[in-house]
Amino acid sequence: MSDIFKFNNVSLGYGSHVILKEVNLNVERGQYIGLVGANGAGKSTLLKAIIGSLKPLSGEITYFDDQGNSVKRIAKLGYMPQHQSLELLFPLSVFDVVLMGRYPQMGWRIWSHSQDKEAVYQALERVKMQDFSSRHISELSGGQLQRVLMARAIVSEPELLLLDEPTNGMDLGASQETLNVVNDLHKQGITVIIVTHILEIIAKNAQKVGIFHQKGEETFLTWGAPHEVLTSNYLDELKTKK
Amino acid sequence: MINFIDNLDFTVLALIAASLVSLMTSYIGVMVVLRRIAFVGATLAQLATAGIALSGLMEIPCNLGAVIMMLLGVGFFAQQDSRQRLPSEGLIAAAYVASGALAVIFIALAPHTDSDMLGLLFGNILAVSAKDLLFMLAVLLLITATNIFFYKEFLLTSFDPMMAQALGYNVKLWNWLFYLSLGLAIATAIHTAGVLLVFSMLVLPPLTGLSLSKKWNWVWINSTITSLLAVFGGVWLSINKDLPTSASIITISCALFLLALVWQKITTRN
Repeated sequence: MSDIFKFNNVSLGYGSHVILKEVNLNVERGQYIGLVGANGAGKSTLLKAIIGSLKPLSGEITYFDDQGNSVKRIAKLGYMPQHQSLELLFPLSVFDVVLMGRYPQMGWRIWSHSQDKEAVYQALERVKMQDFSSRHISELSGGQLQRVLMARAIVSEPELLLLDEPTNGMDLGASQETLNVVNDLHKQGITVIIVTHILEIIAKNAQKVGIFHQKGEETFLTWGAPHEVLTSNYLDELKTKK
Repeated sequence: MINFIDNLDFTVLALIAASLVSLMTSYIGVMVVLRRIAFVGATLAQLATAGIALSGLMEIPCNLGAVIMMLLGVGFFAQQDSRQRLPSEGLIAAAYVASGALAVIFIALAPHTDSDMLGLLFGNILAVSAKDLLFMLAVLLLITATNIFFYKEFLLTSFDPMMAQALGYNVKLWNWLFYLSLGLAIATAIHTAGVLLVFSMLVLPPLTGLSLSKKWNWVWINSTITSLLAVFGGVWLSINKDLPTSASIITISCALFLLALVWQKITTRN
């Protein structure tokens, strides 16, 4: 399988402060990737770098199209943030939020066509939120909001899906339903990168795992197949950091 | 056209001017309040004031000075990053007091410091000229067109910048454009309406709009209507009761906001 992106000796941080040092990884098309680490370990920093909103302090990030040619950025990227990062005072309905995922397809249009509306309702149906489309976002529970953000991430049929703690705030049933949606999308060939602190999700589904761990002042990323990196040493380190 | 406007009664001119300020600020103010950058608005207003004072010192047109200072402010605020070493609130406060102090110094140094200059600084809505009105109208049309045409981009980059970046939007560029349209609105309104009135119009009607509705279009409509109500009520009060115009408009705007809060409490309880 061809790579979708590659990190070559990439160090990440802000100003002169290095958060993640010398990251080497390659993600192949269609893979299911798990990223796990303690709070503040640099998971969000890595996501920002994948998205392209944070330039490396050193090293190189290369993105590829499906022909294997180097490109400036991943063309169709679905991103699901943690709901706590959003300002819920915005006067937006569930429909409005999911429609944001269609903005690139809408181009300069400020109104939605019937195909945009259909895509939004289909995405909401996939996460079982179709009855909530006209609700204001502040009227939703944390778990419901996460599902709406998941609908927004998948409404544009992305080639790469980035999920930041997707089951945060959900009860067991809703978590399982959300993970089933992710698994379905993965089966359709979509590359999935999931950031979570729930090791079970990673152990069950991921084909490659990145574990953030600290050596002294610096954080490194250990990258490999689950059986290679989910060793008792790393797991103990995670438990003590949490 | 200019002659026709100049021949209108001064109260009509004041009403038109205040309405234009209200339309310019109530629309963009919704985004200012939601982005939690109300004090950036206040600081840009203060910078525009310092620009007007600088114009007096350099004997150049006052709009030019206001625009120059506003551009400096926009450049500064659009570059703000949550990861910087110093908290942005502190930097905004520093810019606010610096621009206030500069305004005072520029006035002290200006060769023609007189009541006209103070009028320019604090605004005199009853002394607006036809030329001012036409300029304000042109800026209003430009800002409204920009905010309608780029509604999606401004909304997404304000609501979820990381998602915007993931979808390929240049968040820094859109921030620049947003701050530029905000700065332009403030710089244009400031020498007619004064710092306090412009700042209050930027914050109070949008807060009222947000209290009355949870839908974008209605928030904007309510914000604009309450802003215009405050303007008409304030000008009427000022003329009939001989009260300061800006203070009357602001007081009515505050009263409408309080009423909206009460309404919100009643409707959410039911």
